[in-house]
Amino acid sequence: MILELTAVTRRFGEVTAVDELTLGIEAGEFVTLLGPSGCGKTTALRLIAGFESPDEGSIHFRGREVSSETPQKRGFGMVFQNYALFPHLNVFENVAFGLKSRGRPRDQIAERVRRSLARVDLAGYQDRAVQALSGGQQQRVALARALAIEPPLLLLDEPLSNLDQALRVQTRTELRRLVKELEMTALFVTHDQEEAFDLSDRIAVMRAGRLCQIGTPADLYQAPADRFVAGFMGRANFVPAALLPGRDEPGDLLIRPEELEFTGEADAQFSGVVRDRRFRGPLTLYRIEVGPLDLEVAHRGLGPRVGERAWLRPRPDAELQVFAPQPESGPPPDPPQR
Amino acid sequence: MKRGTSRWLVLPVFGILLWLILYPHLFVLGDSIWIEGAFSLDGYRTFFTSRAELEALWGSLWISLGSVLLSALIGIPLGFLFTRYDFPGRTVLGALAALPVLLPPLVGVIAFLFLYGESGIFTRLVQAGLGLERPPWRLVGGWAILLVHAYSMYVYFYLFTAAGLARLDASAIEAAESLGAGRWRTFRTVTLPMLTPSLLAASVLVFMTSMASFSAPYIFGGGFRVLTTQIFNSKMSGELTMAMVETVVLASASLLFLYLLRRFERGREFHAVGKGVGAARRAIRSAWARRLIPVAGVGVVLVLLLPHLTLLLVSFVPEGAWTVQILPTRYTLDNYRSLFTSPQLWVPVWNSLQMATLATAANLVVCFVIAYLLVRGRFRGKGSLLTLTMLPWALPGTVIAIALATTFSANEPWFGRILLVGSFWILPLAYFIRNIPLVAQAAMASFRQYDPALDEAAHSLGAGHFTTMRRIAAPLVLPGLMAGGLLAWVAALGEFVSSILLYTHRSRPISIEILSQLRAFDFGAAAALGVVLAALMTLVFALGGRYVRGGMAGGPRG
Repeated sequence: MILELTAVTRRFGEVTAVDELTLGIEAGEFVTLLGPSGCGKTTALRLIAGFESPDEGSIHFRGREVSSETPQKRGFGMVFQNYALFPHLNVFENVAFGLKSRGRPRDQIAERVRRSLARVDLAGYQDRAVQALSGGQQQRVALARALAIEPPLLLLDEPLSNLDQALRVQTRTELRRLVKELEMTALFVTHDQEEAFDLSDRIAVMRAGRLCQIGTPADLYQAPADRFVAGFMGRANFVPAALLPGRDEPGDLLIRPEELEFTGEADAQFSGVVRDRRFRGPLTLYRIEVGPLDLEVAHRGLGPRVGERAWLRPRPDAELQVFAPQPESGPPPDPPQR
Repeated sequence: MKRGTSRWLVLPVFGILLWLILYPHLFVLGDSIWIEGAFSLDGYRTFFTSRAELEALWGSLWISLGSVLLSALIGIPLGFLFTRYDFPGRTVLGALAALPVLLPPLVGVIAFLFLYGESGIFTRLVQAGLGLERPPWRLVGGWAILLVHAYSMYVYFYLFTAAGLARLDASAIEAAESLGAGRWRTFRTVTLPMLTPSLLAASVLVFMTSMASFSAPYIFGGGFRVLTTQIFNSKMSGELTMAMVETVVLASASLLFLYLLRRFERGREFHAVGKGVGAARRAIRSAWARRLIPVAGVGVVLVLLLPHLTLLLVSFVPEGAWTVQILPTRYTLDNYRSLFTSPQLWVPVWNSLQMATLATAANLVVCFVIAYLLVRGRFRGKGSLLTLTMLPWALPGTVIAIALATTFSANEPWFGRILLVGSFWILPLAYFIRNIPLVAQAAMASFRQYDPALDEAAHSLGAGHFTTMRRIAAPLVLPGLMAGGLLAWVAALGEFVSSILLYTHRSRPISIEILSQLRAFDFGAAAALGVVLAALMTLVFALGGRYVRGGMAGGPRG
């Protein structure tokens, strides 16, 4: 483990932003903290960077306790959500800032800045004012600035959220390639599940300050620890087990939309009325009303029309997970954000 | 706005501003080089060879630079303390630190007189405490002026620093830290450069205010010469050509420095990249600092409040009850009663109310139109209109008064001159002109946040012109305009600098009466008038301050 958080807690007045967070990251890993806004993921990142100090618990980096060290001592590179470029400095000076603070010789700085900018495809932009750049370019300058100091750990606080959709998808591919090429350890914060899937070796899902589950994207999708993780990782149908013939245990079954299929009336385990269908190229997404439930079904090709009755069953090869029944009076789980 | 509409509004507005703002100053320029019917530079020759005159020019300049330096030394650390650190009592102390703005210039000066003057409360306290035969100091000369300036003008640095820090993107500072910069390096290479525009703006403001300052040098100057008092003296002793020359020199020096500072400012403006994040305040951790800061804070605030308290105290003192004692011997409400009963006091109050209200009404109408044209209009000469509108801000009140006194001293309608000097109308006119920049800025700020698309949205929802005006334009523009108007009104109510050059006995305003009560040694009556002005000012700031961004920038000066 290069970075280890042990039972780290941070409170702001009444609110416990991070609650006994225990987390370990291996060298060279790309880990994402994922969760809805207000779940404490940014606070966790700021604790690691050194902008906050934990009320309880410890943070070890390469075996050294760092939780009382200043950010500059830790020297983790950070990319901010709003980029935090220095508006009074040009591109070169922004990227050189960290190297100058470290007192590197002039020619070494120039060389490193040049290399850093070339990596993010901004060679030749050295003398531009940062205001004159587009949002995507500013984002890349921020990344180059963090990379220039060759940090032992790269922290990224929702760095893609201010970009438009198309640029976001393209940038995250480049980001992952770059981090892997440089064999860096990176910790990324986002509320976007798709982004997390695309970037991460492992994902840590957080909710209300606590860690819900950590694992590879596939682990989280296929074996979510609870209803919240299941709902946050892709789309999920919760079907009372009693609805299916032959299963009389209490609790709900997690059936992903692609795990449901249309059949003839004879093979069906239940049926419902098609309320909506949306064409998505390879798949068609259905909303089907089954008694009090609204189920989502992902079907290859076009199937029944809106208003028709549809007969359904889980795919025979699907391994369905059972979750304990929801407490009657309990608060509903947070709606997943996308 | 349609082209046609702006054209028939533009011409009259330009006409009024050219006639009332530019023309009188050109007239002064003319009078300074046109002596006894012939062109002559004798006035300037005399000025630049006279020791006394050069002393005054030099005095004005170094007092202004000194005021900038001193105000910055007090205001910037306070701004940092209250924005960046958290400690018990921060909010209350932070608000109290802006207290000096609530004293109109002349009132602040007399409060200082009552407190630190030769026979002031504090001075006598020290004298008695040390058993001295004479007062330990005399509040006279350059350092006395500097002291008063620092007290009233550090607020600009304090507020601008606080505002600049609040606007500053906190993540830029965190970025610097994460890149390995220590506290001092972060401050030097990131915080300070990003704060520079705010600090430059504050410097410009303090410099211009000091150049224009009249009350402090007039009361405390003694033999110390500055241009504003020099102009006053020349005018009073009938040396009109010299008064014109001095006025031109003061105006040119002010405009020149403004131009230089603005040039320096340019190229240092930048806008934050991306959305900023508010800075988190650092809690002060060290135990002794946590205990020391509130104590020091209370001490500082007490020093800031002393002038206000002194003024209030003295306002209860009847005539003759405070002669050689440390504190006055008797207190009554008589002074406040006589504000309404004694014609000697009531007449100036009534005069000021009338004149300030008249001037403000004119300001509201004219500045509304100016702001409309400047923000929404499309016409050639917009830059000149803006310059004309802001010119009275850059010119000291003394200069404006001399210009009006010169231009409107004869009845020559063909030359744009009408006889106003000696009449009631000259003072409202002066107040009107001095407050144009303030009200116009307030109105422009309102118009700027009023997106024309809102009109279109209203029309698309079926609202007619009248409904749009009533439901959209009025609620959006009026609060800012009214707040600007209120500030202008209260500034006019206490106006002193132009008044002293233009008033007649019958139409004397409050400030002049304060001065004559002071001369008659009726300190109580002078203080009571001062308290009324300060109270109105407090009320106006409480009511409308938040609507006028940078309202103080154009606020009462002198």
